[in-house]
Amino acid sequence: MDTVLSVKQLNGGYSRQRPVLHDVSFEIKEGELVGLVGLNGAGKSTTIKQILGLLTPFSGEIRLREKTIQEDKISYRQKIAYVPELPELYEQLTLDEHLQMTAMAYHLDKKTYEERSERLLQLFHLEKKRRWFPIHFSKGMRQKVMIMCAFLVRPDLYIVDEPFVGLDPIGIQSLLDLMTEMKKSGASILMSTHVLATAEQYCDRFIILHEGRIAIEGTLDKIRSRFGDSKASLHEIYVAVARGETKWLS
Amino acid sequence: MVELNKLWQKRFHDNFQMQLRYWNLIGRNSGLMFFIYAMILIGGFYYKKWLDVLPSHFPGVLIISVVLTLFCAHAPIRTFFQRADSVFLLPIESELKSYFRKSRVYSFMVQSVFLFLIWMISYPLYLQSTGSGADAFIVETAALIAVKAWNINCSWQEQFIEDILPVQLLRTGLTFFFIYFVLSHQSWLVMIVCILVMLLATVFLFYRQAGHSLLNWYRVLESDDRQAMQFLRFANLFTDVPRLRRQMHPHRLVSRLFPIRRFDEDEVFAQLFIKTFIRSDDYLGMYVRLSVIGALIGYFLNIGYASVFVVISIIYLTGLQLLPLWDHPFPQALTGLYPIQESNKRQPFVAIIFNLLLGQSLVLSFAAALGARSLTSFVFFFALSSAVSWLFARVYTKRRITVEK
Repeated sequence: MDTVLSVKQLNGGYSRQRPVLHDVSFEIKEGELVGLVGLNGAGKSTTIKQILGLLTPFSGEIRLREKTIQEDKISYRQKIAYVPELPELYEQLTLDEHLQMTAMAYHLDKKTYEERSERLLQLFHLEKKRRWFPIHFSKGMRQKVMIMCAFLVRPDLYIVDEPFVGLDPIGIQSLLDLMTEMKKSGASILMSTHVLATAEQYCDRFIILHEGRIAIEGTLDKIRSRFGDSKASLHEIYVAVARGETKWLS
Repeated sequence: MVELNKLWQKRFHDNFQMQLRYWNLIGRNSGLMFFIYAMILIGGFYYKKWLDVLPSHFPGVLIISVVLTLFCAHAPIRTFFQRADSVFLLPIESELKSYFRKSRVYSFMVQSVFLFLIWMISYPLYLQSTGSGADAFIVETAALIAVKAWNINCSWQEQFIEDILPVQLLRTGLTFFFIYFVLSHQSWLVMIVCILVMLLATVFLFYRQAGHSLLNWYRVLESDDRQAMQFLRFANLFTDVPRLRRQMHPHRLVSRLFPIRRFDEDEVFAQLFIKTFIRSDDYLGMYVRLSVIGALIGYFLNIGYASVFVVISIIYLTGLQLLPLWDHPFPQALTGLYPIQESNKRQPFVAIIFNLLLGQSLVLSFAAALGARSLTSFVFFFALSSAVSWLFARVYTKRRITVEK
């Protein structure tokens, strides 16, 4: 399998005096769903912003399909779709127009747009709200619009930041089904979340971030065997890391 | 509680300061002050002329009663509540009695001043209609103020009542009868019956219904928000009020004129800007207002070829006010990540500014030429104003947005 995203010795953050990320390196291959786990402030969102190109790395590099964003901004952006933690919508556009903007920006033709949007709208039970404006949307519905915009594009890499909060059970299931489907068709997904039970079920690998460094990375089995308890849940391991019980790591 | 008293005082003070600042800005607008002064003089002159030719059967008292009723019965309570209060003040609702009393007194005083102003303005018409002297002025004024107080009190009770439309209608109806009876000098018996009905309604309808219900916080908050916005929207006519930004109106009919035609990447920002222009803040309203004012001035001023200055200055003013569209915040998670070249944002923006100004040029030139009744002047106006539109968009705007980025 080809590598889609590679992050090498990334140091980054908002100011050079106080970098948030220290020497973060990982890779994501085609068809992989990787869970990004960490406490509040561990550096998950910063990592995501670095990958999206919203922040510039202080050192190290990020390659998407072997190209950095500096080399070709447009094609880099073309290959990536993002679902933010807090949904941000155009207050002045209807749900339909959000999808159309996305389709146009990512060069979808009209037919593809219609097929995909139809299916997404059905999946998230929003067919009847196509002409609604975001003011009338709840937090969950706004989140669904963001998810639909991302999955309309079908890029190489999805970046999904804490998607489950505020979604109803049908929404969560639809999202999980979509992710599984995209994975099968070769897309990679980086998902940050605190909902560990779900992550455990669906993610192929995990990256546990702690204070801006990768504490441990790998499949659940690999992490368990290093932790020394083959039955430990991700939750238990994660709490151990977060509490600083990290002797088993070294 | 002392803290709660202080809270009301503080909020009252803050609000007062805020309004004062805006009044200060409005007052400094000398053109506006001149306009108001002129309006008062001209208005007064025509008012008097109108009164002189008033037919004797003109229902003046009835009309005044209706107008005063509207001002009396509209009695919202200004609580200075903020969104977060529904979380932080909710637990001590029962201790807020004096807070609310202060709010009622404040609302009563402010609204009484307005009521008195309306009453003063309609007083000449009232004297003309009744033909009687001004000897009952004090009694009539006192009655109006009293019925305002009654309305404020009932309006507060309504905040506890679930279904308020019937009681509001009843309150408005009773207010109207009372004012009409007072102003048409009905007999004491009629007055006493009316007051009795009002008192009974107060006790048995308003207080009884409100007595065993809970305060409708959401409604109180909304009402307060609306009142605050009312003032800010008024101030916004003269100066820029930042808090008023981020309004959205669907404008479905106008929007339909600009559907997405091509599925092209250069259409993305063209669409974003045009939909933002139509639906966000007040871009469209500003454009229409300036066009209408410009057209009226152009038509009525009728100064021949010199009208071109009117046309051009309106186009320049409109253009200036369209420029903030460029900085209108778009969501970073969407727009910020679109795989689109920066030039595909700049070109559509310049094109939209040009098209909007060109459309306005057409309207203004037409209106000014219509006033002058000449086709040649239309050609002249339109040629010159399109040139200005072109310069503004292709040269000035283009340079502005390129310098910024």
